[in-house]
Amino acid sequence: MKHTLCTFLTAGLISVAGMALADNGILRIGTEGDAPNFSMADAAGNVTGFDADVANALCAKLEMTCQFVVQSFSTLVPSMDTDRFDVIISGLGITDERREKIDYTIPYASTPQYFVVAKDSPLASAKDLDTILAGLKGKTVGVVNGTTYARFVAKMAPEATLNTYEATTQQLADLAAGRVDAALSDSPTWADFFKTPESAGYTKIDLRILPTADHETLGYGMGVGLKKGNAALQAKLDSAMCALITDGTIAASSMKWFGEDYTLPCAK
Amino acid sequence: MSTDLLTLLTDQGWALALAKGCALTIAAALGGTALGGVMGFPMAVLRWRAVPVLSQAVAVYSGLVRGVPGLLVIYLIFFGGVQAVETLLHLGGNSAILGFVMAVIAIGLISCAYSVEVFRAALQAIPRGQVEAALAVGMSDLVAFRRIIAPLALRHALGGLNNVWQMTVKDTSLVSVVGLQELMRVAAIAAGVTRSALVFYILAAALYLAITLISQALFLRAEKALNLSFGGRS
Amino acid sequence: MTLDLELIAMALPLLATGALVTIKLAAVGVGVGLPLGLGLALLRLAPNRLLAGLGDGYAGLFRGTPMLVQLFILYYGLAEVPVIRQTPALWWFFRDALFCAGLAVVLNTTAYTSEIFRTALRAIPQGQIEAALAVGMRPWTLLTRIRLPLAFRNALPVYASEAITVVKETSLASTITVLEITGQAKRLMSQTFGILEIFALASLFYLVINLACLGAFAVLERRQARGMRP
Repeated sequence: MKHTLCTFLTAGLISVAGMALADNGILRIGTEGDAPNFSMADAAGNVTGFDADVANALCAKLEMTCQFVVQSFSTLVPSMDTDRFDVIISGLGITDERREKIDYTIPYASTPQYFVVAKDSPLASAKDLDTILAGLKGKTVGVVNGTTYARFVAKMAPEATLNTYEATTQQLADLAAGRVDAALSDSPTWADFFKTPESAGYTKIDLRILPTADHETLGYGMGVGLKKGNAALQAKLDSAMCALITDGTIAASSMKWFGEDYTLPCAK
Repeated sequence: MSTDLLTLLTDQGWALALAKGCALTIAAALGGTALGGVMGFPMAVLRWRAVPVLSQAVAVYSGLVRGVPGLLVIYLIFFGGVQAVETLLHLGGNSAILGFVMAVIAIGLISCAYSVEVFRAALQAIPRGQVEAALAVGMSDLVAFRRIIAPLALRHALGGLNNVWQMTVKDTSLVSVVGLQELMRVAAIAAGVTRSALVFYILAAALYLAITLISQALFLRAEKALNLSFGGRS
Repeated sequence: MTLDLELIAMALPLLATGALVTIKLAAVGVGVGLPLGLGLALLRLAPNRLLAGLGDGYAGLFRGTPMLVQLFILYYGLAEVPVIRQTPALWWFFRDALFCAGLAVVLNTTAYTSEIFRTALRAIPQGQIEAALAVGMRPWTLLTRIRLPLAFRNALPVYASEAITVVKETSLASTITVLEITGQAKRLMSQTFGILEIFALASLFYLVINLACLGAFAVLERRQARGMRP
């Protein structure tokens, strides 16, 4: 009895102090595992992609071992709240609303977003955001549940019907099947999509949508998410991240996976 | 087409992944059914004996869980219950085990609600005379319960438990939506990565069918064996 | 725990919209699945071995696999088949997530319903059937006047719980973008993080629908019993 009480108390104390860092040198990373080029889990459970590169680079800098936890994107933030992993690295956008639930490192990258529609859609040649948003009225738009761009469409085009998916691959499958009139996602996702034969009848609307279009929903770029109030871990991750941005590690990985450099300058 | 399938399964390693998924599905279903049975039997006794307050509490729990979709129960446990489990079981942050434990608890909670009803019906089916006879020959309540009531109830319950098991195997597929890498989740990932949804979901269906059919056969054999030891006719 | 009234006020109308979809899907499941299940039960009891075997195979297939897999085959799987996408009538149907969900619910409940009515039809005492044949009833009259009414009366209480299962199974539609109760609840859970409140509210909606459903069947049962009185 005394023993269990003891372990109980210690467990409590350690988790308060941020156990992952001090405890066993393992950094548990929550990631989607189902987003092409960002986070791809293979049959053996290994994760590759930009998110995995960022995670592995961080772990190397901090001299820790990365352990990936793969689960659907919309469950990542709620699970963080409940200690399934220590950090989220999953192309997670920094938003004011999420900041109430979790803390972030400095932003390290930002990918522009694009709408994709059928080539014969009247929106295909749209040139500005207002035209697109007006044209979406009464149309069906596919987005991934819980993402910043899902919120963006919900706010900016309230008269469009939102189809939300658990995974990017499901969203793309439905776009290719013609079940949605338009889909919004980031440029790396589209780069990947347009390599497939299914994309033949589709086109990207030529308008870069950046977080500046609406900070409230699109946020401030991607950061590493971590549990609230863990200042020690946050400080270590921040300085490691800044070093990785400055020495070009992040940029190299971005070029490798996306063919473009999405790095944000270290704003520390 | 068939060579494509072979490439997918062997060269890209999806056959092994599906096999692992099957193993996790069976393990989660076994764990869930066992947890449900272990919790369900005493709860059923409470209901059978109409123990005040506790009996009603069990009735509310069982009625609630049987009345709402399993998917909703699983969302509740996965979104809301992780912290509680981590604190209680002190798994040292091993997330692979934690995910599995969460799945077993979620599935077990659902399975238990149905097990309670099965056990209760089985207890009620015991003829009053048999219990009275046991007490009449001088058995204490406890001995009568252990030697007469519990074995009889278990035998009556076997058919119902078979149904609960079949349902529980199928319910494990719901855990895929929150990330446990069981059969359904492996199939969904494979469907997305390889863009062959039809192939992988049909494969998953065939594997589920194999699991349910084989376990069904095992249950029937167990039922026969149990009946024999009771000198049964069937 | 303090109750977040603002959250409840926001969630209620959304869940109510979801409840309408749940009711729609469940109504289709019971309305179409009940007659189909009855037909399947008769098929499975048919003297023709092949027909009976086909019926048994169908029931075994759908009862032996999770509905989630069936749903994903219908929604994501069939959308890959060129014939389906190029045939306007088929694609009109399979393009729509709500239709796919309705179809999955119907296919699934048909298998379970057939099991219920097969048992009920077999439970009819042989003597009653012999009596009907002895007074010269034709097989069709025997079916509509004797076997079906008797089976219905026996099966109704069991079928009521199958109807509740149908209500619950409609929740899987949420995994293919249909926003019924569970879909709305899931979206709310990932947006507001008020997990327990949302769960309680969504459960309440399901319990009300279930109770209404059970009530309807109780009325039906009483009517049936009345009709049976001499």
